[in-house]
Amino acid sequence: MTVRSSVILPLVGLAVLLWSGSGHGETNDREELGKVLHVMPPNGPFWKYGNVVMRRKSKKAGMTPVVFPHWIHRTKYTCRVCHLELEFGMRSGDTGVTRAQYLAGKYCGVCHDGKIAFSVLDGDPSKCEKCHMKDTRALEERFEKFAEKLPAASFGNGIDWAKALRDGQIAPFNSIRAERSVMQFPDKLKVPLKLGTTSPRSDVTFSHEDHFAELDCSSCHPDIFKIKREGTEFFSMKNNIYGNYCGACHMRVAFPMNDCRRCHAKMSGSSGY
Amino acid sequence: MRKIFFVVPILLVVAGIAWAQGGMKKHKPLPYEFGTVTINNYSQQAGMPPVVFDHWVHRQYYTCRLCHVDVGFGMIAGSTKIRSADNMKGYYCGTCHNGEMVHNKKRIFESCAKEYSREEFKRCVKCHTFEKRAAKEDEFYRFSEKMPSERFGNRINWEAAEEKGLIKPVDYLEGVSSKKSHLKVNPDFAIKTKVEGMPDIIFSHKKHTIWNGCELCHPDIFIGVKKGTSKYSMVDIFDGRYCGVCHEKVAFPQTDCQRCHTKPPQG
Amino acid sequence: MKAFMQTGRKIKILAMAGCISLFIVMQAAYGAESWRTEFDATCSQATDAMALSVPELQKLIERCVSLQKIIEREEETVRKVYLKRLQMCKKFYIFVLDSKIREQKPQ
Repeated sequence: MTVRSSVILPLVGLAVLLWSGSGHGETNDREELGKVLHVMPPNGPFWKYGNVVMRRKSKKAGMTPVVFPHWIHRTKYTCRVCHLELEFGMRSGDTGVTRAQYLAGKYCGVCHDGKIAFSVLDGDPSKCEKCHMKDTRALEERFEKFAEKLPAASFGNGIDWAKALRDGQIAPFNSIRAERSVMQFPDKLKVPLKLGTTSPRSDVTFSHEDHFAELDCSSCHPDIFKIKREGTEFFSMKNNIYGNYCGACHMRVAFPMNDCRRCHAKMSGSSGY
Repeated sequence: MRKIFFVVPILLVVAGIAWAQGGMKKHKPLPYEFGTVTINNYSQQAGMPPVVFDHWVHRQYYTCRLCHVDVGFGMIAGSTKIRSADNMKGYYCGTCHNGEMVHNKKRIFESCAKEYSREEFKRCVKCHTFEKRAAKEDEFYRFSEKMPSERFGNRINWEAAEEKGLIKPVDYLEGVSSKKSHLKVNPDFAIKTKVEGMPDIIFSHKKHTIWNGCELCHPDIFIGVKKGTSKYSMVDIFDGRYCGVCHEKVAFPQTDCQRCHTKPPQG
Repeated sequence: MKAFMQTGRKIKILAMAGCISLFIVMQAAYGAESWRTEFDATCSQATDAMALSVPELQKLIERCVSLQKIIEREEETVRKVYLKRLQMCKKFYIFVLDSKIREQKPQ
């Protein structure tokens, strides 16, 4: 399978399913959901999970697309540093980073300035290829070594990031600007939140604390989750899988949703997919 | 080929349905788009594109109060129902945009016309505009470079800009504003949060009254007379009520949690 | 000479016409100004409202009510603009008055 078709197939599958599913009231049956999960990227190799390929601006400039691995960056910085402080969008293509912006010290240029991290500013053309990757083999090899020391998980990067953070195996910065302190985490939210499902066996325990360790309140509220509890008319597994709600992160960067029991802790082993 | 014209709108509608359900990150307005209001009560009937009003252009020169109290503009987009006749009589936009008033040694262009000639059309499209405005965008970035920066909204800290004397918003217009005595400002107070352990909000009357006066917020936006009688939560504010009337669309948005939740909880 | 006389007459007539029109305009302006002055005097006290007494506030609200009747007779745009402005200041006085009365009650 060529690279291109491996990208297009899941997209077509998703488009078809989205088409057939939305607008009508009917819910997808489990079998169909299973199919979605199989065509979605998380089942790919560990090193590829969370890699964002930035094509649009690169293509215009005649450059090889940028391959951005989330996994390298998230050991050093929490999500909120880039997605809040550096203003990277949460959807690929939303930010539209240009070379001019980069050189002006915006976006990637905040760190990749030759001081904190490598830069093209020192005039070495081979540095371009560090992001505009022609060959990703080096990245793959780097991942092998990288993942060795970190706690294992079954999907996504094959790394249990939350555990690594809790146990102090990684200690990412939570802010890039020293003058801004991160808001204190309210005590009340330390109590895990119970999210009911159709069966008590599959109830979800949501930890605000684990999420706040990486994110800011405004990363999720109110765009993704209005604080108001409104029932589950829209907060369905299907909508989550299509990249809404939890799926905004837990499908492409944070651990994917085929890792059922990470959220539905008491679910039995044979879930059907 | 023609099929594309068919398929694309359908796809957009499908995407729209998925979008409307929520649970997704919204598109954040770019710094120069933040605070833009599109006014289209009568424009299209008159064969004109809607008016695109930029708050950032105006708020560097005038206080909120001047337009929203003295000139009489409403706080909800489209609620004022401005007609070109009103402007030409010297009200609403026409209060300043009358071709006579001078600001910063520049004559402020006249608003609206009975009929438009080629010459006048150039003036019309200054406000009635639909296209992406590259010149406006450049102008914004040139302006914002000089201003103290902020993380959200226009990425301009307007409050600090005034403190540093970089902007001097005018609060009085001869013939329009009533002569008022100097405002005695009520002290700042803390608003207790409902969530235990969440930093309390320090509400500064001073910061708000300098730009807004009293009657802009009381009693229309904050009804309660006694402190604490207006019961509202973040849900209401997210829905654009109370603080959310200004803070999201024009004043700094609610994503800037720490701009309000500043007081460390006691005990 | 005759021509000069004629121009002199013309000037006289023009001056008279000018005076009359000025008078008319002034009167209209003055008439307009009377309620504008009252409006300014009434609503400019919003900044001091917190320091006013209950009877003072009640008086201001009364003045707002009588102003409303006058403004309602004005032409469309003036009516729209000034009724809104008047509403804002009247509602604010009522708001302050309510808070004053409530403050007095428990003590």
